[in-house]
Amino acid sequence: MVHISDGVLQPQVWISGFIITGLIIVWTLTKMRVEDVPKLSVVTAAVFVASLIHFPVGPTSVHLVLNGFAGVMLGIFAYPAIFIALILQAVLFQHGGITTIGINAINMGVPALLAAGIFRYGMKFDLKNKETIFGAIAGGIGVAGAVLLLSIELLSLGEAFETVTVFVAVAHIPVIVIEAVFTGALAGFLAKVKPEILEGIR
Amino acid sequence: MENAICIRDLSYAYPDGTEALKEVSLEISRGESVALLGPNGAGKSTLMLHLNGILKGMKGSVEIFGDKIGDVDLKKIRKRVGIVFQDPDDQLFMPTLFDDLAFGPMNLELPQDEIKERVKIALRKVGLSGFEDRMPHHLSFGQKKRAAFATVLSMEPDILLLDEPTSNLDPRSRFEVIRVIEELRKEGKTIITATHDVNAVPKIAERVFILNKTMIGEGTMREVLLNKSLLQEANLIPPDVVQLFELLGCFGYDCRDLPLSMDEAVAHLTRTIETADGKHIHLHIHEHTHEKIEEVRGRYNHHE
Amino acid sequence: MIGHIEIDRYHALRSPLHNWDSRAKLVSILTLIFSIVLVYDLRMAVMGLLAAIVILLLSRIPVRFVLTHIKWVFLFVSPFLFILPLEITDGRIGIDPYGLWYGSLITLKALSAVILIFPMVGTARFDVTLKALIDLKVPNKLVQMLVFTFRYIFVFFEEFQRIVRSIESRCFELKTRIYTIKTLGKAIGMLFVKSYERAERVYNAMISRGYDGVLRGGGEFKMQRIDWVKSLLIIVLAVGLHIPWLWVR
Repeated sequence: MVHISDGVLQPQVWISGFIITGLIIVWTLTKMRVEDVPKLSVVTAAVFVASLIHFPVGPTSVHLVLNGFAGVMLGIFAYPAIFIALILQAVLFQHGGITTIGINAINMGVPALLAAGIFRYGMKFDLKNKETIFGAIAGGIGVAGAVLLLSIELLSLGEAFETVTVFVAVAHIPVIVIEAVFTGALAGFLAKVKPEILEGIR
Repeated sequence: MENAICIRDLSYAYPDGTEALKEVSLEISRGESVALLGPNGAGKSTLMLHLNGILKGMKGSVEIFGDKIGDVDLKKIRKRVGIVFQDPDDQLFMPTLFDDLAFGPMNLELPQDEIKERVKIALRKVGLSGFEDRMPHHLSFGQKKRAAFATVLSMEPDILLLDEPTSNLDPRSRFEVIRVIEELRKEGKTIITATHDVNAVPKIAERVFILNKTMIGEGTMREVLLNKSLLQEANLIPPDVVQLFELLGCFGYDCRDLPLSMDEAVAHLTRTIETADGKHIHLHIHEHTHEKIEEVRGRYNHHE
Repeated sequence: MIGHIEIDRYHALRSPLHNWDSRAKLVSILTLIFSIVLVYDLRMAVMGLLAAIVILLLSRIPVRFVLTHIKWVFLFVSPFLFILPLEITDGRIGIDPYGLWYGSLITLKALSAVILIFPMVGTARFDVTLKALIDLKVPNKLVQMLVFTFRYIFVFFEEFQRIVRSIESRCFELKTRIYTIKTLGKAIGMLFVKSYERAERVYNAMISRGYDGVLRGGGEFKMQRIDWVKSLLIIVLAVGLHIPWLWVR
């Protein structure tokens, strides 16, 4: 539940969210070539579907966030992919919020960009299973980064939010672990089956 | 007659170095309908992707109505060459059928009224009139396949490339698709159909090419469909009707000029009956019948 | 879960919202949502929620349908509604009035926003709403991504179901264990391999039909006088919500 719903944050925060997201989107759109758009959309749909799959964990279930993995697979285009996914999620399933799409895109997308950078850096090493190792780091950073940003935003609301923040952060620790294990395994699997996927959408 | 398609010594290798096409040459005249047979992985789809410039061969040339691909604007080529891909979900990428059918004409920047008219006509041709507002994921596979067909028809291309149009269809949908292809032949379109469906070939093609990375055979539909060794190279066997008449031959039926399709079978039977004494055909079991049957059946079941 | 993307299930009803120009509808209701979320007074927030409910009723979308869909909102909002007001001092749990006030404010705003999504996008076919975006001059690449992603969500959902069924038919059970994660992981991995290959084929199908990077068309929308009136009403309402605030302050 990393998304923030409408009405939680101060206007300054969510309005800045739109401005920053807008700038990043404009930047990525200028980098996007004609063939990237349809291909990126198709893969975004797959990531979207995968993020809806629930895993049983004890009595409850969790679903994957996959923002770190989006970074691994899509590079900087993970940001627009996440932005689009958030819009569709808000409108089709009423998950998240409308006014928070910008800030939620930052929470998910900035760690995704970080994950993308780390994974690409990691690929330079001559290491056995480097895809699995750096995939796991990317996956963990994706969710951990999102939770960190979310916590900062909640704490910015004042002392009253300390309890909620701790609650939300602690609730996400298992998610970070699962996401790291999973993204690592996924990257390792793809490296074996179809390595070109990890070279980015191009 | 004018050549619609002319391929000369086309070679192509995948980025990983695997050879996909090797010095393929073929010529197809305007209005001709040909079938492209070959085992899985023979390069049939790859060849088709060369005909509208999606892939570019490393060697050789492709000409469409005399225009060499690479020398002219690709949009001009793609307007005249339509490809119906194998998986309709690859071709139906818009939210509704109208949007999908209008996609091509809109890229050609036709006026709104004409686009609407074309969408209507294309849907009628494939038997999906009134389906404009339907969403692809609410259609059956057979309907999707026909809809994919229509997305290309709305561009009114002169050449149609069909990649396994009858695969995975139930008999009725398959029949429907074959009917559409027959209609298009009557309209004078140039058609290349890549297929494994030998039973459909007599209805959809007059000439047949057999491809296995390189062109290993070509001829009229009759020559190829009765050439067992050639068919074997394409992992195919002759049409069911041929096999049935060969079996009838074991019972003493006169099997010269084997029929290839149901229509030909009817004609063949009629001719045989009308020319026979007493106007009926005579089948019987003689001492070699069972041996012959075993032999005929073994021909198509044997394993190499 | 995704089997029922059904936000536009009631698009064929007749109501003042259904026959409203999609572009104007999107812009006006979005403005209202933003306005309600900007409110910082409990009474104004209640007004906002009432306005949202009235607009929903006007749209004739069955309330029960909306209720089954907004249960998610409570999931997202519950920590703020139930944990935020708690005040732990010297090991005793008390109620913090500020927390209670803020938690209620959040809940009211979140509810209003989510209710308004239904009249906004539930009163026209979703593809028509997407076309309105082209005419509203939203960057074309973004509209394309929305359109194509929306389409392929369905395809991949079916594809994933097929993969899962084939695993299940070989006696695989969903249980908490590493094996489950590994198997589902491979299934998801296959989904991505397939999506990557499909992306290539879809692109080929597009350029075969003359795709040059631009999604053309758009709805043939025409603003009538009544469309202007409706839009003006909603905008006035959106602005009006903040006027009493000037006095309160």
